[in-house]
Amino acid sequence: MADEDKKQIKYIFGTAVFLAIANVLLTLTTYVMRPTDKDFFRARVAGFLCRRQGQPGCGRLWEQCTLPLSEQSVAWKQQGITSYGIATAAQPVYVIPSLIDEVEKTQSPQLYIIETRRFTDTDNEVIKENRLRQIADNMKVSWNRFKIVTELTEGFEDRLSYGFDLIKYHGNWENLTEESWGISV
Amino acid sequence: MYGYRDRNGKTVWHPSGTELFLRPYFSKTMPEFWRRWHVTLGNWFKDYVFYPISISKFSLDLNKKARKRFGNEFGRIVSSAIPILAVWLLTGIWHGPDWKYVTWGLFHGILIMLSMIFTPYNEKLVQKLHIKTECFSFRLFQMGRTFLLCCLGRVFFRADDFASAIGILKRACTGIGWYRLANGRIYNYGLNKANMTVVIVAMLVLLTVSILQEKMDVLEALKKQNLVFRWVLIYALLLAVVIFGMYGPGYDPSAFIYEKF
Repeated sequence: MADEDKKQIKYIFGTAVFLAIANVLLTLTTYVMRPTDKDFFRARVAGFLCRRQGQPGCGRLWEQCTLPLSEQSVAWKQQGITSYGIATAAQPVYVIPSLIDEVEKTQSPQLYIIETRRFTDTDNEVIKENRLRQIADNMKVSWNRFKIVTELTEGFEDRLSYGFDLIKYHGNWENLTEESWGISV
Repeated sequence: MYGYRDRNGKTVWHPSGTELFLRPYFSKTMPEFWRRWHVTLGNWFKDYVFYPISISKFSLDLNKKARKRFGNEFGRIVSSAIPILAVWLLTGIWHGPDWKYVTWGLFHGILIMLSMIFTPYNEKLVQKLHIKTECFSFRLFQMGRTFLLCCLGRVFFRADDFASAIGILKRACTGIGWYRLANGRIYNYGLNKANMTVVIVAMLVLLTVSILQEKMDVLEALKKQNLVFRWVLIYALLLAVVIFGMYGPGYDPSAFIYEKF
């Protein structure tokens, strides 16, 4: 192999490594910069991600306000069912398939409990935006997250800041707490 | 890559990496400042306005008459007044069709004229007073003087009109209120303590890099460093820009003063 080719391969390899490290750093920075004070969904997703892989149980795509109808600790106490929530308040129905895909990346639930009251909802843009922020701004960077963002931001002016939420939250460095570093998502 | 067409119709290209602003705040005089500030625009005005007027028949005749009447030194200054003032009048208008830009342009034209007139007297005074000119303190004084004159011009540039500019200058010279720096009130004007710290650190970084650039090619020097050092530095700068930069929702770039130009 000629020296010139070797140089070029080395250059391409170096560039790829540089970009990969930059990607990891930016992703980690994104997770750290996400606000921790908006709601507890971030902690819920973090809790879900801490579960060991391949666990049986019940995935809850369920709103908090319906807790009296099906409560996790009661399900465990009375039926011995392990369950975990991965939902936000007033979760739009169209994010459910992507959230199920996300769950099945690491877990093997035998049952899903899905909130159906929202099936007939027609969201206006502001509500849609708030819900998207609650969901996507707390998920790990993944293909499922990308699908959710792409689907929900159609027609939005500032779509990029949903896909790369660091664009929105980079100024949050002033509000960083110990909690910001601690939560893995 | 950027460029402009010179008066012979030839496009003058500057390779990417050629700087448009050559650290103008290190300038010792106003003419030097404008040689370092917006280099391509300065070159364009030199090629299309200054030289054509300077070599016009009217200017050459004026030059002859002025030299005969006032002597070589002062005659040269008198004859160069017209091209210089024309350049600065047009530079002002280039920024906008407004009297405040005309005032700003003429202010700089007059400053450059005054600089040409007083340079010989200044040199004599420096010699008489035995002031050392080849030292850092004198250079610092010169840079400070240029900076202040430049800021003075900026007041006319930034103010809504001439009367407002005078008002700003009056207020700047009276009731400065240094105590605001100490009692924390400075943080009530838009930048809180954390943001102020970022601004100060960023300015120190900028100053350090600018000082280094005056002495060496920083990029070339960086290329000679070990890979780990280079990458750590680049990542640190990348993250600093991403985190502390001004962008994203809520940021209005049109509020930036230079946006119109």
